[in-house]
Amino acid sequence: MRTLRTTAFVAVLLASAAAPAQTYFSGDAQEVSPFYGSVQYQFGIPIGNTSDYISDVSWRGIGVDLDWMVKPTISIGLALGWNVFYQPTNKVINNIPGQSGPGFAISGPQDRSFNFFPILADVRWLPKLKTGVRPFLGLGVGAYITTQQLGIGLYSYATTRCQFGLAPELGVLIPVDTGVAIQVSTRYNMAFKSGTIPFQQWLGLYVGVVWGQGI
Amino acid sequence: MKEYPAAPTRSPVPRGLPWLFGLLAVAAACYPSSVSSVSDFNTVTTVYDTAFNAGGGFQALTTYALPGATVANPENCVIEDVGDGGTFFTPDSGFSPNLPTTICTTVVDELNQLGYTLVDPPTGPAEPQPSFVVTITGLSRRYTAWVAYPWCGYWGWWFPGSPWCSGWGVSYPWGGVVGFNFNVGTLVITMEKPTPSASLPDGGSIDSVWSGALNGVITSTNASPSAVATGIQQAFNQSPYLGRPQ
Repeated sequence: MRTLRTTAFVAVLLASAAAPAQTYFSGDAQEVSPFYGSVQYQFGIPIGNTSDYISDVSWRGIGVDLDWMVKPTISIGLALGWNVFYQPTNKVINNIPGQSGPGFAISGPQDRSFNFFPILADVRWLPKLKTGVRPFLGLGVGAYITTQQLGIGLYSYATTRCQFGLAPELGVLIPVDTGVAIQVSTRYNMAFKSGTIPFQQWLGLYVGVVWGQGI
Repeated sequence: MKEYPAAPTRSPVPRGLPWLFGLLAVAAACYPSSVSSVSDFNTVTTVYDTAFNAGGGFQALTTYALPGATVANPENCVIEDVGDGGTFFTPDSGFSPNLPTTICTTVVDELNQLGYTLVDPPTGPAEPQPSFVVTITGLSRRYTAWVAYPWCGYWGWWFPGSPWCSGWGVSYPWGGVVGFNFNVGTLVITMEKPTPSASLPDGGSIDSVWSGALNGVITSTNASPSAVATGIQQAFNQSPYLGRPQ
């Protein structure tokens, strides 16, 4: 039942975005679309297990947020992204699933990478200051589709898992024109253990462009 | 109040956005790679008998023999070709003539630094035997398992007079759990602890307790002796459990 409700909620959100031309207004009172969206460049700083596997920061990241104002200072929406962490290294590895056992070690030039695809439902509290600037505080809840990859020698191993995730965020929307703003924000991404992929976390620093009448 | 249909307004979702969704949905994961030469595929794999180590086995070892090598000439060790049982580095193989010598001396240096002592091979059963044997082999074929040292003649020499070839076998305690593949041009160094015990002369086991494989390092005849030496040193460096008590 809960799944049905969630699916219906997402369907309504998408349908409302896809059918703007059917909006009617009555008299002089023009409705303002409560939608706003953003596209961000996302920079990532690995922490914990993520850093143990790949200590280099991530310069490869993109994200799309789709949000709807449900109250003057509260929005809900979706946060989608793609973050790639990569590091060439020469470290010694003591375990390759399915290929090794106790007493095993291998070293050599290797490529390590993480591909994270966050798919989060998020809620934001974003008061509007007199200047039009909207600082915001939010929380994302959802899934991280994670692929952990190791290439060493002639071999490549990749594991893909769906991890439950939480992502508190803090940021600001700075208006630059009517319906257009700049987003500067940070999101602490936490993807919980799933299968052979342990708990992952990284701090994302985002800069993007926001559009929509909802801001 | 009369209602009028609104003029078409700008879509709150830009027309291009569905494409972006599609891109994200179907995008294959990104696997960057730093490989720029064949040598980037070389690896050093080591494995050891954990039960032997847990019993203090590596610390209890003292002396070793290396086929072909003597205390006076450690650089003369034999590097066996697993494929045909002959010598891997033949004079016409195209490899640097310094390569076999470099391999032998580097292995001996590393073992000596661990506190083990190279001794001359015994010439008969009555002579004291070293506590372990080190063998070095090159692979001229691709293997998908740890490969046995094939040189029957060596073990016959090791246990003079025994018809060991019909009954002796090399034991790899990690064989069931390590399924790594070895490519052509892999150099394999193995520490073995023969256990003749009561099974002589009809057979017995030669227990491998440690092995290091430099995968693909001698694939090309351009293999640099210094690069191979570095690989050998790495095999010992990533095996901190080896060595006599300091």
